[in-house]
Amino acid sequence: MKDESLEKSVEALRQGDTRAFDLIYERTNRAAYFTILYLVRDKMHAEDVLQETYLRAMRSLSQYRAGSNFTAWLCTIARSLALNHLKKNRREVSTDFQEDAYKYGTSEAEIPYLFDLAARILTPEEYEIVMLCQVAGYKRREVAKMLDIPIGTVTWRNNEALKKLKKHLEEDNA
Amino acid sequence: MKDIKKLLKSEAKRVLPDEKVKENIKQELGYTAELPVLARADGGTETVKHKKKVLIPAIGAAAIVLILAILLPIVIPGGTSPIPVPLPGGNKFAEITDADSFYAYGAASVGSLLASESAASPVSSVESGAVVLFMKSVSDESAAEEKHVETVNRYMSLVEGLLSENAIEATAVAGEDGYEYGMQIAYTDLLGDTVSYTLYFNKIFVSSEFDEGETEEEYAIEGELIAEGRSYPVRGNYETEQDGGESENELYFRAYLDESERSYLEITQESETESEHTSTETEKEYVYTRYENGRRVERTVVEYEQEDGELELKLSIEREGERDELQFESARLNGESVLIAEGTLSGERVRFTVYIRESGYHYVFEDGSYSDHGRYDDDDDDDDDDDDLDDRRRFAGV
Repeated sequence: MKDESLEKSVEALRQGDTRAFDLIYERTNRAAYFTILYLVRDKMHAEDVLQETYLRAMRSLSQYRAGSNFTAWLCTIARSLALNHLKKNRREVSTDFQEDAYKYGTSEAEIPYLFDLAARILTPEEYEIVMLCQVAGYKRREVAKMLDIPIGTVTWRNNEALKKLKKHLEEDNA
Repeated sequence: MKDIKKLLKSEAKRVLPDEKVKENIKQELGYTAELPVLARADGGTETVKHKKKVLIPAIGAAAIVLILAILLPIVIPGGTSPIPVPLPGGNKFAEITDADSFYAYGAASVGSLLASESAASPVSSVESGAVVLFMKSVSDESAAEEKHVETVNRYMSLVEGLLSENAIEATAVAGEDGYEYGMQIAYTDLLGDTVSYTLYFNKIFVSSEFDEGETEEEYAIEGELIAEGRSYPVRGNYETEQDGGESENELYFRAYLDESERSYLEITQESETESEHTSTETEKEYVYTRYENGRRVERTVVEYEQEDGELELKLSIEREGERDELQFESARLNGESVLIAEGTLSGERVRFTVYIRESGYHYVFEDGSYSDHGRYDDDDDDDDDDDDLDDRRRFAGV
């Protein structure tokens, strides 16, 4: 189930072929981005962390073990940088304000309510899968390959996530 | 559940990362700063140029409006338009049910896009007199708008094929050039002419299923598509999968535009069958993606929509960070075949009519401005007007 062409491109980039970056980015950016957005919940900050993730990953490409899952490796870096970002932000911004960012309009790039709700009620795995399938438009087969998990697991988590979102939205509207 | 999916999808643009992130990363890493070089279908290359926009002086615009008001009733055929009569087109997607029909559709649609590219550039000369170039006078802004029309024009042949009455027909022919199988694919355009392409290929077995006395085979292909007198290497895949109440398919047809295979035009089928309570709903759309040097430069989603009993074709074209959406309906106007289109181009609402003529496409916009563009043509090289399918492979501008 491994993404062979992605692995080949990583190897090519390691050998100095910078053209390979386009394919690597194309195949991995959504997974990394949603890993970040789940924690950061702000589009602009998530984009900053995404950029930092790729810079960090590309500069330490030699540390990636060829043949293991590149997307998973990238997402580990993304998660770590997103957590760092949150810690840094907590130190810099008043906690009260941050809690009520929507109320005070301090959220710089508000994400739509449904996405905020998803980040609050779904597990990281459910969130990642529902975003990749429903928002980024990947097929479940592609997501399974990307995350190196069985397609049945993708289907199950995707459905669970949609059910949870539906239930919460219905409760909100009631 | 479907509503949640739609909600998530509709907000995607607000949430997904901007394309500039990638460019920033590349710049930081020093990967590339040069302008991407695009490989054209005709084998040449072209550097991507960025659009410049200049505001037209208000006085100039006012003068144009005045000239149009006086001249348009004279210049434009059927200036005071009678109500167009919609035509009964057929949903071609419904005919795609197996590997054979998918590859036939892939070859027909990709072939028509490649043919349109050759015919669409350069843009044919614009009528003098009213001196109108699509909506605005000659300026950088009109050049930018014209670029949009050129993009739309590349899809006109596909739109014609999908809104025409007859089905896409595939006939088995002998394999050539070392390929075991051959298929001639023909469809009619909106002027009733037949357009055809030929596909030679080898099959790569994927799976087979025996159902009600018939064997249904799934296979991938490798071969070449002959369109507009040129040969394009192609690859295709047809693989379907059932998973509980939902089905998921991996269907693609790809025509390569250069030897390195980093530039290609790909069509994929996106379909989702979902059962909820007692009803089952299948949404099917076709996505055309163009890659240049391994980079995605254009993505177009094509789907049918049933509006008040009329069949319409919806195109969503994403290019250079912009998204244009157009809906086409085939009709007759003043005895001519036309396509009525409306949607958004560069964020602006537009409505226009495309007159389909042997000589080319004549675009007429709501404000009366017009623009003429090339259309594939089969009789440029010979004077006789026979309907020999092989001759139909030749198009204008080739």
